[in-house]
Amino acid sequence: MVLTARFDDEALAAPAVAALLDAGFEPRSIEVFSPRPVELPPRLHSRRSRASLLAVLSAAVNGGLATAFMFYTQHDYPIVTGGMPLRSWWATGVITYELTMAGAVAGLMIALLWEAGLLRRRRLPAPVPDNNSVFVRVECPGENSMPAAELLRKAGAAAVTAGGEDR
Amino acid sequence: MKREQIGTPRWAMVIDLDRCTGCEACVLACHAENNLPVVGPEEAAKGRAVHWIRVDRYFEGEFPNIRLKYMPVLCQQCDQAPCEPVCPVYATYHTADGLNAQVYNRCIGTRYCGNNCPYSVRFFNFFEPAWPEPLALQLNPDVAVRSGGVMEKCTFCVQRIKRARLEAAAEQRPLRDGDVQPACAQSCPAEAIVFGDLSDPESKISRLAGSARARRLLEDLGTEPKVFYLSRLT
Amino acid sequence: MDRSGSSTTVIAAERPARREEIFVELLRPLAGYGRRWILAVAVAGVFVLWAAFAWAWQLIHGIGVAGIRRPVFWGFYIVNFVFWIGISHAGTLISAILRLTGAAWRKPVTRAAEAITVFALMIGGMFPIIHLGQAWKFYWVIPYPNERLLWPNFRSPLLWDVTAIFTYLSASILYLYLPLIPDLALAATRSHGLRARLYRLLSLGWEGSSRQWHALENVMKLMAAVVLAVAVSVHTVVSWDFAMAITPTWHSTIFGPYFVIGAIFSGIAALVVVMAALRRFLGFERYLRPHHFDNLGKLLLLMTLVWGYFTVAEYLTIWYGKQPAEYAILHERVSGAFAPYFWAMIVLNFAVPFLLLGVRRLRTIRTITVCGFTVLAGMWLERYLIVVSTLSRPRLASAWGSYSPSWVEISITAGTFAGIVLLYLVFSKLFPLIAVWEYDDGLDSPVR
Repeated sequence: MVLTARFDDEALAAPAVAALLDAGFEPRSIEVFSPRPVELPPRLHSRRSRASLLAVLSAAVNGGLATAFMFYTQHDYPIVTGGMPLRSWWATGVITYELTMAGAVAGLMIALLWEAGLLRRRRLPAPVPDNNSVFVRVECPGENSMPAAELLRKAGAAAVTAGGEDR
Repeated sequence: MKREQIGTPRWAMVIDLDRCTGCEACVLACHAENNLPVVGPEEAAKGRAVHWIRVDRYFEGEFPNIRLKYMPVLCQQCDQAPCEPVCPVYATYHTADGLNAQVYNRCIGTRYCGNNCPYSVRFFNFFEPAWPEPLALQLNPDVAVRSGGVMEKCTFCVQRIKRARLEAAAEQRPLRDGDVQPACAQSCPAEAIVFGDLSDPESKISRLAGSARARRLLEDLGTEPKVFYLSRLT
Repeated sequence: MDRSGSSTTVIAAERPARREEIFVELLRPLAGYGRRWILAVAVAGVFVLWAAFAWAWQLIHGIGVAGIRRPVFWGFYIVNFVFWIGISHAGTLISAILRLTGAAWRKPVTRAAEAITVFALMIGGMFPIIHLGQAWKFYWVIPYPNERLLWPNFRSPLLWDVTAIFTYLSASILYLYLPLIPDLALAATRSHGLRARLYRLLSLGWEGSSRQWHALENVMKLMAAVVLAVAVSVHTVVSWDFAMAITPTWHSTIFGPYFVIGAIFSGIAALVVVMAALRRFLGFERYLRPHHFDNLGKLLLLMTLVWGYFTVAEYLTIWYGKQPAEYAILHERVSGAFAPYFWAMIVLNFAVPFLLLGVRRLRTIRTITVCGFTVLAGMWLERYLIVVSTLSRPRLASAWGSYSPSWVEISITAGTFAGIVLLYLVFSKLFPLIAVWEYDDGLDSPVR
């Protein structure tokens, strides 16, 4: 069962979430929807972000591939210019750097798409984004829905609907 | 390196400044030999004339007691050419026999090489070249006509080097000293310009280049030019 | 809960109302086309079309219709290239620095700055192509297996440029786009038809969940760090186009940092000018407030001083060393044919901003905007001096020459200034120019 509570003041969302967590609801089953970022109990997001790791990996891979590619081209068709060595670390280092950074950017973009769940089908309907209200959504077994709704109402919810908001 | 191997020539030039009279026959010969575009007076006044070899003048002394000195300047075919590595498309590179080659078909016209040449001997085709009649009739069939938008410069008459090599191969003999003569050297009435193979210690040019009178232009830049200028030691 | 009760209802009644007001006000420019807007688009459009005509003229008749000649092989186009890449540092550098240091006052400023970056890069990136002798072959610098059986020369600074600008453009587009996503999702709910579908498509399914906010803020922080590193490297690479050459006065080790600070300098100037325009023409007085201008004015003053320091360092060493090839160029700049440009640059880049921004009483929105304009002009002149005066005095005096631009170069230059105005005008109708979600309720908080 899915419960969605509407709060007309975003400051009420954090205590509501805290109350739910205290009552033993799983962090995974709770989600808050807001038009702008709101302060929430940190334990809601206990999973560490992998964005920086992904960025570093993708940077290393892209920079490595770029460097390997440059050396391949210089062996594939070796041309002497200005008495420079064919493998000029100094000269190609700039390109290695730029493409390493390009890899980091790509990694970050992928990390965002993945961790924010963008471009993916939704399992549950989300409340329509609204400029004024904050929504707290709880996913819980049917027998727990009554206490959950009670908690939310006590936390100051203006309205609690079951089965999610209408799309 | 490959070019150090025996049998690979190192083409070089010696210009004796004490012999040069500044007659500019070399300039004219170069124009005829290498299909240099003729840009017309207005464009030339803008600084767009193309002369692969030019004769620089230097005045010595105070007027009226002046002495005029001449210095023919052409592409110095540097061993450490600053123009080469900056080209993004390898339009200019170093050949095995030490020439600084310009590949017109690769050039896209960034003109970076022209800026990085300390001798200002690189020229750009600002428009498609055109020759007024009857000049168009004397184009050299051995030399490519360059299209608009590409760089060009002295090649040490690479077409003549090629021909001499083919002739020597046909006669099954090695290249001899003096087999190759660029148009400027050929036309110099004072015989101030000598061309030859620096890798052959017996060649005339090796002797001249080793003379105490020999120096190179802007040598301190470390470009290792292969044009030697002979002048009186004062 | 303790917080329920009378106080909550007051907040609940008041806050959303103000929020709604901000929201409506910031999105207002998206709806409808005013007469002024249409007029501005028409004027800018005429300039852009004329520039396109000039470029077509140049493609058909040859690059010779531009004023470049031997020995000044690089002219207005490269000056503009360096100038616009410099302007592009408005967004990324400034917004990234402010984001990383957590400066709250940046919030209404960042998107305007990031948009400048993307547009200036698009324009700046065009110039090396316009400048080519055979512009239709520009793609030959891209490495792909081709019929010429040739790879590009990765040792050339121009290849560095290509990769640097590629990275920078991709990074700055994402850097502009990512914080736009929540606004797009929000705007989609308030618009209809094609526009709503476009916003919904571009918002990638954003629903404002706390996980998404968490990921966005985290990634934006990392992205700011990466973008900062890229931005510094890009203008360094642009300076290396010059510094790698052995051309006198270009072959300078301080060119990298000199260009980077010059870029930040002109970037802030551009940002000030754009903000003044937004304030004036979109009526954003409530959002772009005096203290935003004052902070940027102080930054501009700082950069004026840093720029002055670098310029003295560069010129003093050349003057003292008195190497003939370099000294000839210095002499030409300070007291020769280029002296008017040089002294104009000193006045516009240093004297005017130093006076107007340095004296507290003189530092108002109006004078800060004036300084924005003078610095833009001064920095353009600086690039002109670097490119043209150096090239006109090569080492061998027999090749000395001069340069004057043709109508083609002037038209294309004017067209790009109109072009960025046009891009901005179109952007202002498509996307909110101030980040709505970032614009918290600090609207009426007292000025720091």
